[in-house]
Amino acid sequence: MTTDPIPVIRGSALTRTFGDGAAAVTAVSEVDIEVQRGEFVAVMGPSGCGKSTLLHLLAGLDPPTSGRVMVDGRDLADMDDDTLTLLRRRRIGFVFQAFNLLDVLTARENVALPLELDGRRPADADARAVAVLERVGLSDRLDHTPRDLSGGEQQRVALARALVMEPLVLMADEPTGNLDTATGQAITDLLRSLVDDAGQTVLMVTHNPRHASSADRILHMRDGRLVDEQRMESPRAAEALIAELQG
Amino acid sequence: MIVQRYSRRYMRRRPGRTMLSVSGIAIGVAAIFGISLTIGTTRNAYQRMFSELAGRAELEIVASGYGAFDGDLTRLMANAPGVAAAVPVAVAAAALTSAGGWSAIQVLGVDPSRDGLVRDYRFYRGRMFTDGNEVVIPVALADRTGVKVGDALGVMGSAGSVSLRVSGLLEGGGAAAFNGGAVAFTSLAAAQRLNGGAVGITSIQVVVERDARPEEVQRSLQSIVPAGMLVQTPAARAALGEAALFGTERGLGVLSVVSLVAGAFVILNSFLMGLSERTRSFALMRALGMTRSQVVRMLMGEAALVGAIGAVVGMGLGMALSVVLNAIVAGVLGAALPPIRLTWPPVALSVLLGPGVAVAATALPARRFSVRSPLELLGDRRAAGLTERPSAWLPGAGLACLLFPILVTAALVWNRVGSERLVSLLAPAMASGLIGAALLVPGIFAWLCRPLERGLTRVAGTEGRLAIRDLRRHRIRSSLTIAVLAICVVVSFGFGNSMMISVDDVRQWVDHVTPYDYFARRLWPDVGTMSAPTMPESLEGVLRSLESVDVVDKLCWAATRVNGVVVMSEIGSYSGAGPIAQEVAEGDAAGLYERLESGEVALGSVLAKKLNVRPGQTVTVQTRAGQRPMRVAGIISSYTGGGMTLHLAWPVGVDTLGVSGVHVWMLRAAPGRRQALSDALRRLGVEHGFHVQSMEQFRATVDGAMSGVVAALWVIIAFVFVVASLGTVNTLTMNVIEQMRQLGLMRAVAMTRRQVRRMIVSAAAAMALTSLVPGVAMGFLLAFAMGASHHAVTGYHVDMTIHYSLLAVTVIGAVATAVAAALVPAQRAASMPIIEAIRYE
Amino acid sequence: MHGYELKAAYESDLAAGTTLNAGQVYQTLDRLLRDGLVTVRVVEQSVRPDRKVYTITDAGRASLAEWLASPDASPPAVRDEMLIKLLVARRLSRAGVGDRPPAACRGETSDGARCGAAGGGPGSTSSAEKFAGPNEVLRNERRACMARLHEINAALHPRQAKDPAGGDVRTRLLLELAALRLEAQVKWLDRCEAILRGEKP
Repeated sequence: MTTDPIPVIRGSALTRTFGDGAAAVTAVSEVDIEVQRGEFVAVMGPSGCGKSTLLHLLAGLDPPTSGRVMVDGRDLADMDDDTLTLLRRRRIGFVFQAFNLLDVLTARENVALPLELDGRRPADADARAVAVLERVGLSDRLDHTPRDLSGGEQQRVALARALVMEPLVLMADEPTGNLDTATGQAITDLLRSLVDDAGQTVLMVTHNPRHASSADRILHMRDGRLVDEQRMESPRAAEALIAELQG
Repeated sequence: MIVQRYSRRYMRRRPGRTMLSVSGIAIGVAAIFGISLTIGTTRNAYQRMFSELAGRAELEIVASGYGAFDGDLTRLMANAPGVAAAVPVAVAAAALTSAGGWSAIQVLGVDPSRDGLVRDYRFYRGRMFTDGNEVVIPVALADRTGVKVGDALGVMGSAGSVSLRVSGLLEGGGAAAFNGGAVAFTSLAAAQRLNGGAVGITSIQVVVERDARPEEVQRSLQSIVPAGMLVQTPAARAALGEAALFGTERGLGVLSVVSLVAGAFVILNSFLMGLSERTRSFALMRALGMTRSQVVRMLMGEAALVGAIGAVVGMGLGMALSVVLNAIVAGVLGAALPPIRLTWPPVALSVLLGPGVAVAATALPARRFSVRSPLELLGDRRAAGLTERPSAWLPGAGLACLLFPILVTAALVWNRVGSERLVSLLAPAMASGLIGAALLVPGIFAWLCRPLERGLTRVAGTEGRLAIRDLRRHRIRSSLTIAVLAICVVVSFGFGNSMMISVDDVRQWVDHVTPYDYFARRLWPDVGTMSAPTMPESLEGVLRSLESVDVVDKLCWAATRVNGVVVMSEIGSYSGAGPIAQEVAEGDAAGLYERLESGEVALGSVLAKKLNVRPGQTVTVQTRAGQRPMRVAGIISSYTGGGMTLHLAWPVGVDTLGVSGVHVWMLRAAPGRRQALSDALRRLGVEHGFHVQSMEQFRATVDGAMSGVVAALWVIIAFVFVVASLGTVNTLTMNVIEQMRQLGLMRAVAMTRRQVRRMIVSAAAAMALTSLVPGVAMGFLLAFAMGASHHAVTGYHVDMTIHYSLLAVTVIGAVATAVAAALVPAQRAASMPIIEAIRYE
Repeated sequence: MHGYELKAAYESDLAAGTTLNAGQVYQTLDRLLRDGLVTVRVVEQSVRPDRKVYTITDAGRASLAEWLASPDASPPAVRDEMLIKLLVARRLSRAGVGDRPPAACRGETSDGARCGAAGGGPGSTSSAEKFAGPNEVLRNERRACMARLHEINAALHPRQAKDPAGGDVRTRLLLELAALRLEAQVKWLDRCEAILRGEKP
């Protein structure tokens, strides 16, 4: 296995325990994980296996009980809250299961918000937000507020918001969990095309096998541990596949 | 930009909460703004009265007691170095005797050839007077009295009634602005005639040369004027009026601070509600890359915006409040105050205080909120590991805060420290006390939970228990609402009680210090200047000769200085059972008047306190013959002149201060002859130009002024209660919204609308009942502190009585307010569609 | 329609790329004829041999209508080979000749996350004399399913999207069917894992 000298994300011996004493629950246990530039990695597992917590640790949203997280070669443990926040802002795009849009803001405002938080001029931020919304196919929904958007559209806005800072890595926590099959598949396809067309690094957590299978690499998680890793091979020609399916 | 838009849209989406926050600040600002505007206007009125009188003059030369002096001094002054111009002025206090009744007016005798150097005369019509039979008045006064150029103007001066011909009408501003426009200009001789033929003038007004410094000129002039003359700035005379205002200012000052603290709690409460409602949004923004300081900045920005809007609204309300207060103060002082004038200091104060208090109230929670991790905020309870319990340091801090007002009150009661400084500590001490009481509320609430739960369960069944459970779940929110209700109780009970004690005290004073049946006077002097036309002393013989009269006493007021402090001197003859013996606070009451007749003086209690003088000691009194040491025979409790008074026996006053006229005759009828005396006096009044006022009428006037005070108090209390009820509405609505799902489920399972309503109303009642504990306790403390400060300021003791009727009204008011406020959210909860409620997130 | 036309239609529309045995076609037609669902008419041709033209009867039309309208909700055969494999692996494992229980797998490799990841296939188990245990069976099946799903996704959304296979409705229906079956299979594997884990050894 070839290893890039600096992985985008590297977690070493990550453990996260909640509570203490007899009530202690270990959500993530001794996990080692690396995500390389341009890779599409999916973490799969049943609910409660700790995959969301792992993602939170890697995104710097939650500190690990032990172990360390390196983002782009920098150790998160060395950072104070502001540095960590800036890292989240500029380096990591995060997409939640529950869309999590600010409901009083329009689509373009939601997307432009991280740029403005970063001190960009409002006009520039807006222009950039519009461009990214176009990329996710929402150019006709710019001034809608979340309540006027369908679930799939809301998740696209959330995706655009995560992408607008051109993050090093896009982290998606069950991005299709609140969507029906077709809409969820469309979101996953969008992620796939981001990886293929723009070289975006994506780390996705999901329990849906079909959506996970879009990734280049699949990590299976059980009880807080990674139990299997599967690297996808380049697919055969479609004709061969179809022939096989038809028996 | 977007962040600001987010804040604004959120505020618009929650109009009720925003309105509450704004009104919280608005009420505080309104109180501060209205009160400081009123105080400012009143002070300003006094200051302007004299500075407008002075025109361009930077200095004036007056006799120490503001009496008359020889006009020859003018020439000496005009030739002194650094003086550009010096003009003589003779002021005569007079009454305008139009058909509608008598009204106070200041008649200025001036030198028409030179007075233009000091004052601008802009004629609207007519011309300057040419001799002592003519007069010039402002056009506004002419309009009010229906006088035209060429008409005769009836003026009652100390020398009696005179008729002057109006030769010209002045436009507003300049000379015409003096004394709120109640002014007339005539020759020096005419004014002197009005003043009873006294040959002197009352001041020389000095314009300093352009390149000379007024302070130096003042010093050099002071060295050449004769003994007993003073060179001062025109505004210096206002000190007397300001002293009279001190008591009023103190009360209003405490009230405005209390309102501001209440406002701070209201905004803190609605701010915390906003935070808990938007926790997810903030978590999200944190996750997206909002730094802690950006969170704090955003929250502070919101608070500042609410504060700014509150300040603007508060200033509007404050204007209305100050109009009411102004009328009340004018009534209390017996002076015509000019209309409220918007000045910069109160505006600046409000503009700073509005956003300032809002930001200060929210700074701590905002900061604490900002350090919470995004995950914790996103509702990951496991990651949060946080408890919704109020901090453990609250009771300790609360008790510490309470210590301050307790110490101040104790110090006031024992009066060990310089009293005026202590009194100025009263407002901050009360603010600290209220904050302390609020900090103790969570503890008190926890302590009362069980008995309240038991009681409410008995009254309202299970709904009562559910109500308490709801309140406990949101202890901080409930506690803040209880705190606001408690402040209402403090204001209503504590403030009301001390106000009612003062009112009772004034009424008592009126009763026992004036054992007379009738007063005869031309005009009552106003409290600020104590100037009014006098009556000749020779009238005494005529009054005494009436067969129906038993006692004839006389009073006259004049300004002077004691140990350099400007005071009002009250010169009176008190035959036998005179009032002065009744008012003695310190010293031997028996024989006091005899000692005053022998040349000793008595001091008003406030003045004695201020100068730290006790009976038997000596003070230096400015007399017409210079400084003179006089022995203090006693200390007098008096409402006159705000207690800054010097009391002299009549002959001594005539001798030392040179007073000549009588302001008021005080008469007692021979047994059974009241009606006869009244009739005789009214006949004499027509002949000699005075009004007769019976004791009952006088008391009615005082009562009228006091009713105004009481009415204003109720208005402010009602105002505070309205804000508290808004706070209750908001807290309960928030509880309802947060538990929408739960309420929906309860409704779906078993609860009737009536039960839902009863549950929410029970919660309101529980909060109101809890608020009574700290509210009544702090109310007592406030009442005691105000009573003690009264003692500290006036130097005499006021019995501390508790008006239980007021306590009852307060208790009922608090509970009724809370219950009434609960009806809105109760209705909302009861009428919501069940299915929608269950779906609510 | 005659037999050859039927064969061509089947091959082009229902199962592209496959060929149908001519004998099979005529056998089926004979059965339909016997059941009275079609009639046959011989058409003489001058150059070529005569050919039989089949026409559907009213009874045949009714039968077709009934077939189309009736649902096919019966589950796929439960006599699944995977199930049998799993049960065999379980039996062997209980007999002490299967692989280790999942717990042992975790701690063994030094880098934790790489457990079972290195080589993949059954041959990589540490003790060659033991058979693949239930966990390994499950893992291998899951990997295969995921790999196949990956291919299906790629076929539906090829990277160089000049002409996605999804453009052809028949292929798309087929791919979706396969994808959902595989998805179901993976979910079933997860359930199997959970159930076997809950089983007392």
